[in-house]
Amino acid sequence: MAILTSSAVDLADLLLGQDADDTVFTDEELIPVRMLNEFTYCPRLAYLEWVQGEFTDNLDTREGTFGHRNVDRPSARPIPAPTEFGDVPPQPAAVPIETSTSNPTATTSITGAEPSPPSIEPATTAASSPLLKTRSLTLSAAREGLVAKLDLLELDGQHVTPVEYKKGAIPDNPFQAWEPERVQLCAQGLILRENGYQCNAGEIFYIESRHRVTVPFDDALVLRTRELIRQLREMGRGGQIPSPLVDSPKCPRCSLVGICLPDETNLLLRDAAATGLDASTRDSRAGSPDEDGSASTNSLPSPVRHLLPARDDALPLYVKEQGAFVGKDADRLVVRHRTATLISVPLIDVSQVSLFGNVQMSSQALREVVDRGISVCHFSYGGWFAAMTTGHVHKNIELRMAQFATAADPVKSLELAKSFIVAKIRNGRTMLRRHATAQQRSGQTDTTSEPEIDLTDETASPRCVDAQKGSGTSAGWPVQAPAANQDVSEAPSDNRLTQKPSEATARELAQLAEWARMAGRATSAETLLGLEGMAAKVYFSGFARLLKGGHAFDFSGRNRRPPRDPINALLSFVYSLLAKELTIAVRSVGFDPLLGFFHKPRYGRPSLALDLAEEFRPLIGDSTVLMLVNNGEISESSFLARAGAVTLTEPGRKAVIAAFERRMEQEITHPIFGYRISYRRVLQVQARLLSRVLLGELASYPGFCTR
Amino acid sequence: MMKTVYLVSYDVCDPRRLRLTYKKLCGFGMALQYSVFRCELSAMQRQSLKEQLWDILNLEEDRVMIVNLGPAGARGDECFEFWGNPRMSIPARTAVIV
Ligand code: SF4
Repeated sequence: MAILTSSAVDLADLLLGQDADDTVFTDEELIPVRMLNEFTYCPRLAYLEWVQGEFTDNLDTREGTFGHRNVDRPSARPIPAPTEFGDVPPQPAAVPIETSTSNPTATTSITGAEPSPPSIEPATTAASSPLLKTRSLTLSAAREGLVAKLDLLELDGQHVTPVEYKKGAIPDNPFQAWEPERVQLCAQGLILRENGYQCNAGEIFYIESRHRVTVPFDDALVLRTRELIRQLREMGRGGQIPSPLVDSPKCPRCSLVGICLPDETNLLLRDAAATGLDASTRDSRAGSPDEDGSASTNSLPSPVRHLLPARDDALPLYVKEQGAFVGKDADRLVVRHRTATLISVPLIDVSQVSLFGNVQMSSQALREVVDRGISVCHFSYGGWFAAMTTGHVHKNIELRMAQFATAADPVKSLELAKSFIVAKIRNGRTMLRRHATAQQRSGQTDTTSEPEIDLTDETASPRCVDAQKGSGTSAGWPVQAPAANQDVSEAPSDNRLTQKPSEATARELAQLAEWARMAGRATSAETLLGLEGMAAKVYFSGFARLLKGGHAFDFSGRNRRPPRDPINALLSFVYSLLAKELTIAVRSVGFDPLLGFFHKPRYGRPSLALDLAEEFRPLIGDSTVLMLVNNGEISESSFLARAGAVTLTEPGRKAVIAAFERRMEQEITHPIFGYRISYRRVLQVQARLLSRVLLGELASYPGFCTR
Repeated sequence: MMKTVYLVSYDVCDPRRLRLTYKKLCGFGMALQYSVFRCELSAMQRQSLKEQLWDILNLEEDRVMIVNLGPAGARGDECFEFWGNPRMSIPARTAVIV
């Protein structure tokens, strides 16, 4: 989006507010002045909020709102309309507020006590009378096309002065005010003028400094304000998100930084521009493990700042105790079983709720969690991800429209599907390669080492909530590889390993690399599906050799409905948990989880979540299974076999969820952005990046590939 | 997100507000003693607590004291010493599975 300069526009028209055509805006077209403030701060911020309906608080915005507490009460008295003043001659603009108001009212507002308002007398004669004040007034102007909520309005005769409250101290610049605030105030002035008041200046009260700063509405400011209004209107029509600011100090303070991803987006845009290749070639080089450190960028890029928190404050709650009941007590969720309380957690610590089988939840609890944006995921007793309860659909209709349009376009769908599958094959290959090297290094004695997996970030958290329940096999967190299991697990696997491990592995690695390359060039969905199938077969035969759990964990390929051996039971369950995570992630970005690009829509299937899950199956799903088996966190007794179908026991299921959660919370170094981030966050970021591809900002989806 | 451990204690003069304050704090941490809570909060959560308590309290009559005990998982929890029967088990940062 081009940043406009005012040169081409008729300055006189702008100053006088005269559009060529005498436009009058309808209520729906009015721009909230607060939005103009955001737009001045950053056009992209305004776009995200205004067009895509994103809104998130951060500490700044929350404290800002808190500072307004005493302002936001509507005034008891309406202000007199301008005509009620009669023919009073205009007053000079600079009203000496500090002397005429005995004490700025906001100084006391920060202590929470509201002073009694100054005596209000109808001001029929101007200069000598006390100021008339009104608070929290909403006013619009159809010709300017603006609407504003005014913190405080002071009337002195026919002159009015809007006063804005801002948290913090007076900024150290010549205006003693930031531009967004000056523009916002000036827009308020324009509204007041259109409503017949005389308004030549506004004031900003800085709560921390306890001081007012006058902002004169001079020609330059009026011009700038009108120009910004015009640009904002144009942006609203354009349907193209403005680019992120580059390396701006505004971003760390921006409440939408986690949604905007400024540095990440800029890096990807820069990479795409630097390579200057067409989309398909770009696909195949994104994060490729084979072409590490390739010279993709010539100019020295500024590093991606770590503006995202590495992980969330809150964590999931899983309830799998059959017959349990989830209720709400004040601001806590309480899980009960008959008369016993199993657990009670503050709602602020809960990010999502998963219920397995016969578990009830009260409607009060349900209402409360969806109000807080917490999703409730429903699983069958056997671990099938059946449904999700959430609040209202995300407001980002633009994204859903793009999603449907893309899904209807076979060429674009195939491009995306290729990215998912290429990343999946690569990640599977990386996993095999890494284990093979680890085994060779350690001379086949080390059974449990997976250099990157686990045991580093969370060495000491021996808690699994309420260990008295279901502590059959392995309730707590096994902190070290359990020695007891080693003799059982090592013998058979060593046998398998001695069957020329490196040769078989090398062949598989070569095949997978080749198929990943071919998948990147696939010209039809059928070819892609075929390659994916072949790669999966080879990958799983390599995966089988990595399992060190003894014959009980023999594995000869995937089978699903029902799983017929323990490994398949484990894989099905962790994939189901992974699908849950991605359903939550894509939904929170604003997608419809049911419509995918690789997985064809089928009744009730979260196809988009399954699409995105592809690249994470090896990284999260399979490595969780490997961890469970090779660390002895799960054993033969964790499974039940019934009529050829193998299911997990309750303690077994608990161990799987615990291991999956450890993996999700594990922090890794992001292969493209270079900062520490948990896998759970990675999923959210990928969903966000996918949305940027669909909306046309990014040319291709950067699959997540570890090295 | 980095969380900080706070010790929160309060004097609330009116029984209704006292009950509401207790309930509110239960949503942010755990009671250690009468009118004393341990809360592990991010900056945003601390702000939420402030906003919500200010809606309940009458700050002309009631008081709240908030002591910053440092980052969670560090000194924040080592500085507690209990005589008698402690009512605290420090929650680990893991998903809850029941
Ligand atoms: S993070 Fe930066 S670029 Fe993105 S909306 Fe905020 S200020 Fe603008």
